[in-house]
Amino acid sequence: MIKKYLMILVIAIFAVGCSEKDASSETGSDNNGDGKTTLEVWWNVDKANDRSGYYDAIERYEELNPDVTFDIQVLPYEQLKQKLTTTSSNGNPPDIAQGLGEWMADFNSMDILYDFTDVVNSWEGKDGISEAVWNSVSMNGKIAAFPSYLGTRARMYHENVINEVGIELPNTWDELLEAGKILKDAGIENPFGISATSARAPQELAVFVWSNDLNIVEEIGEGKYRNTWADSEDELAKAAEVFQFYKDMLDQGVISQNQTSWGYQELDQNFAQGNVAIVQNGPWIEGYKSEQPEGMADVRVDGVPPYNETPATFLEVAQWFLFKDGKNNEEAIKFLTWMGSKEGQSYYAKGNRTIRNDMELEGEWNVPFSEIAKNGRTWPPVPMGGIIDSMTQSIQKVLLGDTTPEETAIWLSEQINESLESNGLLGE
Amino acid sequence: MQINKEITTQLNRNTTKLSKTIRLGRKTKKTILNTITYILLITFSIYSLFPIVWAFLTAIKPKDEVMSSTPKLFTSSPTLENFRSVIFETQFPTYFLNSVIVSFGSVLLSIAIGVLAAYTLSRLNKAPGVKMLGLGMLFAQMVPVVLLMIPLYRIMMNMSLLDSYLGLIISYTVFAVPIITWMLKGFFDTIPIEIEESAMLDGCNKFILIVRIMIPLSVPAIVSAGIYALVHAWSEFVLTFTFVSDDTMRTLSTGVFNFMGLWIVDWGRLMAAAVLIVVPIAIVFTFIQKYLVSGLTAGSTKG
Amino acid sequence: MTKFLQKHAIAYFFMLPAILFLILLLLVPIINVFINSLFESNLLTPGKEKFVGLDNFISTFQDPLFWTAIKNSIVYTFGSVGGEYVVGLTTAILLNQQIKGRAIFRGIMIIPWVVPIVVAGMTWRWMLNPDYGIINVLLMNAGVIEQGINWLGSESTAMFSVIWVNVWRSFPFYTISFLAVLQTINKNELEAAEIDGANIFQKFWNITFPKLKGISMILIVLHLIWTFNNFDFIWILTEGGPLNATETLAINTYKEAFMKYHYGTASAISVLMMSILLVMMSIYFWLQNKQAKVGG
Repeated sequence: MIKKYLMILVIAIFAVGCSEKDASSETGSDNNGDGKTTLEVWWNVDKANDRSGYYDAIERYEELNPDVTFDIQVLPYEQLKQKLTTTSSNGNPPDIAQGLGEWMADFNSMDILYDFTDVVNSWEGKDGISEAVWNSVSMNGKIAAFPSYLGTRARMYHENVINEVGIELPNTWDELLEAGKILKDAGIENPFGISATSARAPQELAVFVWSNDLNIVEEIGEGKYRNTWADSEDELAKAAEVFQFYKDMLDQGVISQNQTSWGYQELDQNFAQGNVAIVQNGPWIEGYKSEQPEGMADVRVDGVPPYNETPATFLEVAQWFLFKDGKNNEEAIKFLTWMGSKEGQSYYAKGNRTIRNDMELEGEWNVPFSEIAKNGRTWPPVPMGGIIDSMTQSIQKVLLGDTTPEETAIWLSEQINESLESNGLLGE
Repeated sequence: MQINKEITTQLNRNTTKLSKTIRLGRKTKKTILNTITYILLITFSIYSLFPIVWAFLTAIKPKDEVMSSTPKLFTSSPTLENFRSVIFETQFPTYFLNSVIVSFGSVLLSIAIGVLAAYTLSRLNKAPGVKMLGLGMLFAQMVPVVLLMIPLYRIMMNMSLLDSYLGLIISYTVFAVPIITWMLKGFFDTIPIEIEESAMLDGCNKFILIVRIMIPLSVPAIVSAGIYALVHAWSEFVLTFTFVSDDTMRTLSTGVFNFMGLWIVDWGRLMAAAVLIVVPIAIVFTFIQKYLVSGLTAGSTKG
Repeated sequence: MTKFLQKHAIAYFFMLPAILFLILLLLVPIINVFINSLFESNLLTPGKEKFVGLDNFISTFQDPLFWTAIKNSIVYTFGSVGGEYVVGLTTAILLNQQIKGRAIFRGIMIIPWVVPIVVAGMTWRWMLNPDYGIINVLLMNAGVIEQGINWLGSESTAMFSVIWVNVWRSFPFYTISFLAVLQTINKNELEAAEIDGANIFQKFWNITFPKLKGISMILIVLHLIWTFNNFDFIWILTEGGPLNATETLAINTYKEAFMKYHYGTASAISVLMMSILLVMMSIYFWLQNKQAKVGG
């Protein structure tokens, strides 16, 4: 008998213990009696790896607004997207989430995003942010997200390595292949650096596609889109050329075999350590200076990444998302507009990552990025979820598999159109 | 007669000789076998243990030695910096506590449910439908958890059990009950029914009978089923991954998976986290593993 | 009726908690999955669900990736279970020998089983890392390979590596289960056989192995099911890559549902997964029965 009671008791304690815990955690995360608001923010940077001043900005904001506190959840990008999908489609989203531009159209067609149009139009800081940036966060004339930081891609290299081997900086693909060979012969294991997995892979591919005078999707008629590579011989040849370039880099040792499994973290880390000579990368690399002072000492930034026909680069605009079902949207908007203001941008996304064009920028880590902004391109306004996945796969197909560049180009074109079709956006 | 005797002695002598050589042969054979056994055992031990040892050796290396293309087994300047950073600069201790609470909670709950169900399947299976339910439980094992993620998420949300211990305990329990039930049923089947019958004569009702007779008799089986469920709960990933978004509610598995996504290039820290997870449960386990073996023995002699 | 209730009420009462749990949290979602498999349901276009009959199944069958996933699932499942079985049985027999230090060896060999899957995946990813991994260094030093291999990152080795890690994590459970049974085998029986001149393999085949049949069946059935449905191992190690070389049905389902948001198609794949399992299990039990009948 005693055992039975003990068992029931134990279970009861657990049950009660839990419900109490629930209650306390719930009151913590919303408006509670004393008028304090807690904003739940999801992003992908933990304090130890914060190279952009996220946490400084939060701290400053809390100082300025003593009635607001933050509950920050750190998730890697992949998980972040998946979590946002499940939670928001079930009406239970966080207050604010930072995410990639690639996600916006997906979320927009899920109809979960808060519409910023009115907020932005009545915001006095609007004009400090360029039209291009606002366009990148707009869908069908309405502003679907708030810009967070810029991540324009530029050519970066280790000056000492280039000088020691004695080569010219490569501007075009052909020059890169040539320079890569020389570097390779000089014993450099990774003359050029790419990322073949993670969110970075399709971004790099997009730059190569754009710089060969191609589009990922073309707008055909009202609100309809299509990938046209397979429709004309000329375009197909150009698309195949892009994949041939990847293949050549691998075959000629310009990129190493191991790079076929590198994500963005591996690429950044290896470049900062000095294991990769040349790379196309974003302004965050500057943040590695304190961790890798030796490897970063000779890193220089200039110009667009190596191109074939037209200089092009990826103008990444990371975004803040608010949700229709958000419980603290009013407070969240106050916070985001502060983050986008001059003051906010002096703490967060400082210098070369700022979304504003009225910040004073100087120095070798800032000027090059604003110089190449004119060549910047952003994602087309279609849901990218399926397309991005196929783009990553196409890189792997050509690097690891035995598909020819042309087959890969046709395959990717089909996949893109299939994705458009499943979202009802395919034009004939 | 004389000849006969001689032959017998001769024969005897021969047999002793023969048996001596056989015995010698057996001895050398035994040594050879033992040597092979040891070699194989050591090989398999290295296979089992090396990943953990290597994780430890990586974790105590200073940062610049971790990322080396010619890694050395032992570092000349060991440091506990990675461990310090994991314990004091992350939510690791919270994750650990959460794992403990959720694992033990779900094990207790699933054993309570499992004992009752197993008893029914073993002794009261004449009631119509009970056998069907037993088969249903086996079928439940076949459901891919991946797909239950969305519907379960909705159910948990409607019951406001997301981000809560109770939600995790309940969902772990769902997946543990069938296997625990079947493990315990196997054991109950081996307990002679006469023991119960005599107790019934004393006027015990079924519930008291379970508590006073079946449970004490099946302690080894319950413990081993419990350990089994515990190991699963400790390792559970998919459900927690789906139901928890609040960092303070994460368990070790999901918390560390997060670390992996965030610091995939900081292997020293990741390995420190790995070691910190494995060592406590490995220590606990060495103490209780004999129950696991004896419980399984008792349950499986029949089979 | 009252008599029936009187007789059986207690049985239902005892089953009640288990039933409640299973119905609410398993049966309802499963039915949900079956229903969804007949609908076109895309998270990207909410509120536009429509009944499409078997379209989801047809489009699944037409997707070459589905067949790749089936092939991978089969290789992964049988490769893992086969490997676990062999390693588990071997170690159990070794640990059953009368030698010194048995307890220590047993303790060591159980350890992988208590390592959470995430941690197992993480440590092995580190060891198999192409840039800094110890495995390549050891193999190169031993002269087995000349160049580092990108174990998890190349098509030809990824599946093997994933199975290898899965076997590492799962074999100890086979070991302890087999060991438990082996320890019940009567030593006299083995000695008698030895006197009759049976060699070590005959002894194993004729005496030991038949005793392991029962436990083998349970272990194999359960692990076939679990491995077939397993998601976390592969997700943590390769996420189904490279080039779908490790994309199993479970991974395929997850990607359909959470990366492409095709919830209907994902449900259809799940229904197919359950059907494949049912067929597999039926064949297995049918063979078992047939064998039992032949054996008398």
